[in-house]
Amino acid sequence: MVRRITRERISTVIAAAVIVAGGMAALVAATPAMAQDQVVYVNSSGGVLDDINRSVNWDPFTQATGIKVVASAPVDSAKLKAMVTSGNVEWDLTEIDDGDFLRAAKEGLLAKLDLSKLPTGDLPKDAVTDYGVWDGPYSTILTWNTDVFPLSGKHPTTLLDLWNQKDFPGPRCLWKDALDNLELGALHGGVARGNMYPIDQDLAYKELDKLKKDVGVWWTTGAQSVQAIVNKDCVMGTAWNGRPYQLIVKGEAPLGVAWENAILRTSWWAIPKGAKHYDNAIKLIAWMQDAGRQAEMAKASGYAGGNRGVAALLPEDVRQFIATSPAHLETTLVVDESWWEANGPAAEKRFTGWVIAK
Amino acid sequence: MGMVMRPGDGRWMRLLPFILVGPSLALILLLFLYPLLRLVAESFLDPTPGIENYVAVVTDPTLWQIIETTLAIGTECTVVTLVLAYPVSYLLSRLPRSRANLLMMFVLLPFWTSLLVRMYAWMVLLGRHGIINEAIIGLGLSDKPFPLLYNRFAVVVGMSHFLLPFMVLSLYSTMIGIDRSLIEAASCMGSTFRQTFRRIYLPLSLPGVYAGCLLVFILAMGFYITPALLGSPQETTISVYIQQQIQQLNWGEGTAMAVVLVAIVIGLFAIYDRLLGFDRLFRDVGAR
Repeated sequence: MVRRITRERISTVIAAAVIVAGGMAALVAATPAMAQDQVVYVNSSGGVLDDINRSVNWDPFTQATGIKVVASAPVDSAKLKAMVTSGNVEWDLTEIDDGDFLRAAKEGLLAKLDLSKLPTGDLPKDAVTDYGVWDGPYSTILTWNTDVFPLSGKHPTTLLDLWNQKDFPGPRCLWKDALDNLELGALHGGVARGNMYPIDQDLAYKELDKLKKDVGVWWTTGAQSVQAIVNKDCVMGTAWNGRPYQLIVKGEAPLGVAWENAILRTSWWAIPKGAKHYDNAIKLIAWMQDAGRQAEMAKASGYAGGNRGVAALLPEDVRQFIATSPAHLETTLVVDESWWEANGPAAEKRFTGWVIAK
Repeated sequence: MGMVMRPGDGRWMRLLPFILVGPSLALILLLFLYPLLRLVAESFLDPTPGIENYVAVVTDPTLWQIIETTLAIGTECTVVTLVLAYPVSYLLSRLPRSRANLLMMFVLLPFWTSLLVRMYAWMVLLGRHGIINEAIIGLGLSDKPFPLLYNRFAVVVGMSHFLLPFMVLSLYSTMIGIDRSLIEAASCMGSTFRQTFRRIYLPLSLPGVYAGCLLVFILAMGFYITPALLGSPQETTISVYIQQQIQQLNWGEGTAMAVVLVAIVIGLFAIYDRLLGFDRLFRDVGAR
């Protein structure tokens, strides 16, 4: 079935291809022209936290200033580096975690903040640097299934109970990352909180070896950490404090939490270098520091921002879930982010080698 | 697709193949080859020019263990999909057109669902208190749940689920071209089903088998989400390890690992070619 390929048919095909290509080129060229000035692109963790941010912070911001907030997810420091080094910066504002934050600042990926436009008076000294503002401190805490260990009976009270198979038998869930696990191992090995850094990794791994066979799930996402416990794939495990809180406050899950020996670190808001809407981003950061709105965030998510006035606005039953409550801080270890910035990659590599070994 | 060129055709017509292929070739060079070369360059330049990234990567015992795991999982998935797909493709090639089309739709249905949704569905099915375990315990077949999730079993099941249509289509495209009269002739001459299968049908279907295995294996080598979600850390594949390096802004080593992965795959290609020959993939099977 060989049809004659006539000159007319060829011409038609080529003409069609040129038109399509031209149309696409025109579309691509026109897109920048459609970008407005009244917009700010925010990158954050996504999921349920974005929903809460939207209703508490971002939609009211749009109503007050007329600046549209376009959100994207997830937090990805590799993507940040790619954007800044290629000169094609999509984000105006991004959430970024501790060690990654320091590393990004060191590599020159972040823009310097105009501190005169931010309410630095309301925030603790540590909460603002030249390159970022606190998104909010959060802790790794212990959570367990209350169907297995009811609150009325004997239940875990400290993160070190992960090792306590005698009283609390069953599989555990741990975060598949060196961060937190090295600290936990060292804590179980008897290291005092004040002496944690630099971390004695050999001791940490010796202690973690005792725990390894009991780990049922190595979780990689926040949702997974609580889902595995609700599903009873594990009876207890580590989780970031907001996650179990969000389920408990909705009455949706049989979860209990323990704060003793919690591990605290912070996430930050930062502006990538070369961001297209720097001024709008600064305005949004300032907007999100308001005490009232941070209290709303805390009530919904369990994560509170840095504003000093927030604690006073929270009811007692919410305050007990906030990582920086004075009661919790007494037995909480604060992560040394500069140690992780310097030793992170090597520590993670060693951890990967350890965790995949049989 | 044969294009018949007549001696009278002008110069313009002779250049035609190049004109038509030109845009696609340019696209591939720009969007595929150039970033690939940038990636290789990164492995030699970050943080300082030299081969130190490769030295670090090649002497990393974790990497070799992970490569071994990746190859093992790839092989297991290939075998599982081959065994499952062969009877299905055979059936599809023997059915009348309309029935075959309906069944083919079922085979292709997974393509229309998101991979991530399918992975989460497997987690619901295979968990300690998932549907399968609850059924087993409920029926009294066991009093303890089977460990079906977060291990090699779950990863192979999840990956094979995704890769099965590729194998089915590969085998089907070859089997549909197998001349049925050869089979009939064999049984006319007194051959049993087993003999016919072993000596006539199986060899004729081998090009499809080789193509399908190659395709499935290459795809399996690059899998990231399924081993990460459904497996234990013992199922860490090389893509996961590379991703970790990239995430830590350790781009020099990450890209070096990626290049090592490509080199291994090319090496396997070369062995494949030496043993079986690429031309076998394109051999025309029987005339219809």
